[in-house]
Amino acid sequence: MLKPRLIPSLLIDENLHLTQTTQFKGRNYIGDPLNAAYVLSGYEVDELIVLDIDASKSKRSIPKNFVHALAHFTTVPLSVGGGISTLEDIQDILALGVEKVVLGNVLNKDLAFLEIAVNKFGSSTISVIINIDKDVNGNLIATLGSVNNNYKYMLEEISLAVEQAGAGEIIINNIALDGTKKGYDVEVMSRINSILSIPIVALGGCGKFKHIKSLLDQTLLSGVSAGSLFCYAPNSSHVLINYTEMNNLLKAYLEEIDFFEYENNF
Amino acid sequence: MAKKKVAILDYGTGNLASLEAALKQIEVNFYLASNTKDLVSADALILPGVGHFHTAIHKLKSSNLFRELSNVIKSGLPTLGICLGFHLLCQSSEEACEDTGLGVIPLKAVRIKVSNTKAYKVPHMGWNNIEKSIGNSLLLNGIHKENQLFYYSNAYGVMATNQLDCSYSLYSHERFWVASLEYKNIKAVQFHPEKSRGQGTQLIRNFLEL
Repeated sequence: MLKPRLIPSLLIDENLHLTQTTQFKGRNYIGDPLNAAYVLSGYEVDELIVLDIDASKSKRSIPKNFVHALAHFTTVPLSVGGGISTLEDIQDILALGVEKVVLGNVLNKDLAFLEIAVNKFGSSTISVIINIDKDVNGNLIATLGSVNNNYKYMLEEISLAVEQAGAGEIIINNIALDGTKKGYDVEVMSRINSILSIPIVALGGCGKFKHIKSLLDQTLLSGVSAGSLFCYAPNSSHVLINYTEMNNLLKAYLEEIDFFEYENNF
Repeated sequence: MAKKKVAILDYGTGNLASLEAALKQIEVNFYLASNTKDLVSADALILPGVGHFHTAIHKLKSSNLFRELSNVIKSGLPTLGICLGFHLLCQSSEEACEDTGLGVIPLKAVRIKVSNTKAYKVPHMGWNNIEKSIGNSLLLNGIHKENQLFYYSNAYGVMATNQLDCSYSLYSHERFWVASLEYKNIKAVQFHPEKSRGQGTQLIRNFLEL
């Protein structure tokens, strides 16, 4: 039985600092991303997502020397994204010791690039990140990459199109909940997970284990991800890279479940 | 005794850095093999596991390695195929129906199809345990049952058949799929031992009989 993956997400900025955002805006400096990645790798995290949130707007990819160092300091499966826009970028980054590249912005022009990448590198190496937010009328809008671009999508439509084009995984990042610690949007995540046949990872809003539990109670998600949950001491703004406690809670939760019955409920 | 020399088959698209890092950790001498001459001095061969079936076969054919490889493997060189490397050793893969594989394992890789798409996703991605083990496994030797949890990332898989007269193990993803296989001098794993914590490096050690 495949275990839902518990995945820390690390965001890095223009200066290669580890940062934490709130609704994609307010930024808090956390520290050195390589140090955090090293510590998390030591905790044997299920996977690690590392995203350069300034790369696209600076029209560059996540720095390859940084990715090289990241792969050097870790032994866990890595997903890396930020401004990746050519087949050469993908080739270089995978060759450095990365399992999956995460595409966003580049797919706004057309999804053909995704198909080409999947055919060259295999679907299980290509992930897509979709950002979701609510517009002024409270309607859900989806974007690929930067929020302030001109491309807006319906979440269901773009998710299905991305799946159709061959993506191996979709990370759904909830901007409205980013950094709020209010919990995942369980309703949206279960709806999307039920219409897609590829693995989905939820990101944005997780502040405690209860949020993971409410999500998994409703939908058998392939991955649950969080940023600040793994970077701060509970109920404080003190930086504390941690993983074990959440992982143990998840293990205990999974052990209590009758998987056969659980799977058949979905 | 001199250290074993391990050839890693380089077919251009693979994530070799992860495998190299794991081999460095267990202090193995390794080198990349991209032509037939490179195979001559190898004590063992690893076919790494990231990329597309067609791209890899195409590369092997264009470097004239394709035919020589099956000869070298059939002649008894200890060989480990990882994920895509496993599929390359098989007769074919549905990832690229127009190509044939090396054919040294009498099985075929097929697209993973599931009926309950809410509970089972494709690609099969993440940490899965070994559900059943048939025969005496060299690869899993010394790895406790509770640690038989490995990292997978595959949209194609291999089903066990009754004719399979060798030791193998299975993982479950709605139905059973081959997790590892030990067929004469050929070992193959669907998961990525190089990304599977201590149990993964133990498995590589077991393969190399270190």
